[in-house]
Amino acid sequence: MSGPLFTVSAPPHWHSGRLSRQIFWESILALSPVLVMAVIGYGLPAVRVLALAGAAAVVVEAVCERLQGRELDVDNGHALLTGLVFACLLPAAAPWWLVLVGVGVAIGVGKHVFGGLGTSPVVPALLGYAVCQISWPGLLRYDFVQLDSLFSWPLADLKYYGRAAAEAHGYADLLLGRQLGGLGACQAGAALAGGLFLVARGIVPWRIPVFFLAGLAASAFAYQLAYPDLAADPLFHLLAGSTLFAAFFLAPEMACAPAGRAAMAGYGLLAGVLVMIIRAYGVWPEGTTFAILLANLTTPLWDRIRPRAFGKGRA
Amino acid sequence: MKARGRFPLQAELSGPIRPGPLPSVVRIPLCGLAALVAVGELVRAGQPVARGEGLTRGDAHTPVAGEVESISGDTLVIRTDPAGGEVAPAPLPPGLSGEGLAASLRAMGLDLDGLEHAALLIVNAVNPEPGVRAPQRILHDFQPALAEGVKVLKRLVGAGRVVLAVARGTELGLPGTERVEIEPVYPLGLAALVVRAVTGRESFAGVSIVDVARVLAAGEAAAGRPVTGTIVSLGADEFRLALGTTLAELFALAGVTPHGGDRVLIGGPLRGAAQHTLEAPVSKWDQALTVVPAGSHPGFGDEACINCGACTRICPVRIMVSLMNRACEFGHYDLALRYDLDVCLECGLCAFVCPARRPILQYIRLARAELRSRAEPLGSVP
Ligand code: SF4
Ligand code: SF4
Repeated sequence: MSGPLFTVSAPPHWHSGRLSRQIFWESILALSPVLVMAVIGYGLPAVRVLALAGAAAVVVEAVCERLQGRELDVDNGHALLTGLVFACLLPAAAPWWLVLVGVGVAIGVGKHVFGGLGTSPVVPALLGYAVCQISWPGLLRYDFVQLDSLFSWPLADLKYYGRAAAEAHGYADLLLGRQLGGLGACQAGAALAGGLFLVARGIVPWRIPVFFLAGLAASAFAYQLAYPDLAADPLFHLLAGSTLFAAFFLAPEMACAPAGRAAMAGYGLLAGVLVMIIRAYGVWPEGTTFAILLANLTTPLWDRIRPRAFGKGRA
Repeated sequence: MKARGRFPLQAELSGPIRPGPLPSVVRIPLCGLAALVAVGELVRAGQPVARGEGLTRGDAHTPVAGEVESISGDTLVIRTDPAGGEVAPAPLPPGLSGEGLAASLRAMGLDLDGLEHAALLIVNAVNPEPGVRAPQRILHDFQPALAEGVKVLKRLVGAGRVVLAVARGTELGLPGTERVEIEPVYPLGLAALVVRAVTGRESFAGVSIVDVARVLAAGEAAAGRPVTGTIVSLGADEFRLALGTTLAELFALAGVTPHGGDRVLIGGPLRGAAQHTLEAPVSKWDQALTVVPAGSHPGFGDEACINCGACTRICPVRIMVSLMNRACEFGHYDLALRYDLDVCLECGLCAFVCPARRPILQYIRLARAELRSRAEPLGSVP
């Protein structure tokens, strides 16, 4: 039979048009205010860490895919995004080899050992960060390595010098990233702006950041009630350090967050509460990293709570 | 709206229904039917040409007069003779009920699946998907025949109560029915979700649901006219087509010219069946023809699932699609069943939103076909 050849496939024949690559590139766009503020705040050293991490992530990804005989898909932006997010957690003064080790772990182990895109059980950038933090804790002490900075590390101030030192940081300063921390992670206002963009675009489901922040704020409030002299107020916890960055760029990482609505809320809440527990009782002032890694490990459990499917509810 | 998968169902109707072409040939699919005529036989318009098998399948009638040209495989082809005769309508005897009524309706071409004995009969007049306005059009244009059809089908199922499900904002009703308004957003017009909206229960128990096209057919059957046509949306218009009309002849009349690479669908864009040839015929209960131009929507790929959960969140029947579709893909059909494969409505929204362009509905259908073939003893015919 002659005539034009038509496309045949199973339905649906429409597609929303939103593709994976678009999600990752838009996430990079959402990250750009953070990157700009990082460069303004830390200058060339931040450019150095960001560029190195981004480039290394792309190369490691390409090598991993080549070794596995997979089709190269580094152009979808996910590796670059992971590299940049990882770099944002580092101090601007991080040595080059630390950047490379962290990126290697993040992409090589965090992403590819488990099967590549979409399969990571924990946020790849956080895995890279955690390995660095455990192996060379001194190099990630922002207050040890960033000696030339005018700012101080608010969460360390809280831990070592108490509430008054912490609250000497004005909220506006915290929002503007006038604080010591991960070079991008401490850009609280920029992270919030980028995060709101991600939520508005439907890339980040709002429940995860909202419940994460709510969990942290509520537990900070409870802690304040229990120890009025020691504890900083909840708003401080929301703005200090990497909280907002974690809420929008780490906790919602698709591969390792649950999908159901109630599950996302529970997961976010748990991660937020864990942040406060680590900040109050842990040895490390920041808390977001390990809180989210732990919450990631509970994702399969959260995924089990779901409403019953149509017609299968208790009659 | 559209990008997030919220499709309004109700649309402005264009001018009156347009007549379809007088087809030069009609093609009647014989799936589930046994031919009653032989090659070379002359037939009159409205004459039964194939008998439905089983308890629900209606007979097939030719919409045109002509000569049986071929019976090959599963298609019966009749070449039209415009000068041929017509079978005079023979109205059903009034007061028929039960099995006698069912048999007469089948003999008039009605398919009776889903029309079991039930206390509640729901007449679904909500458009099933975007671009498909046939139900809206039928409710608007065929009030007397529908009223008759409601009476007939109410008697058939023995219903005490008949509910008309209509899109919110529609004024129309039908005598002998209570109206229940449905939010006209896809997929809320699909049968299972309409039943839930009407009864508040996620179950078909005690309910028979039928779309307005079949109610119209029942009304016409009562007046003695068998099912020989269907009303379809195409572009902005509705056409009344003779069954068996090929897409090629309709498209020529409507001025639609699909190009290579386009998708030519019988049905709407979300659930329609893609055709590889314009020689495909329009069959009973078809509601729309759709052309999706090449390049207007990304096609399916086989990228890795990024685990974004969009499919799970959009599923109207609360399936964990992100897990279920992977179980289907890798052949773990029992696991897929545990992930509620059985309740899927095949609405296609999961694949519509999937950023990895995974052919999720194809995986689902494959899994269902595999499970069906497993359930059947060897050698039996589906
Ligand atoms: S096609 Fe099935 S699984 Fe997919 S969204 Fe619709 S009902 Fe859910
Ligand atoms: S929408 Fe596609 S990519 Fe996202 S979880 Fe579902 S199958 Fe995976």
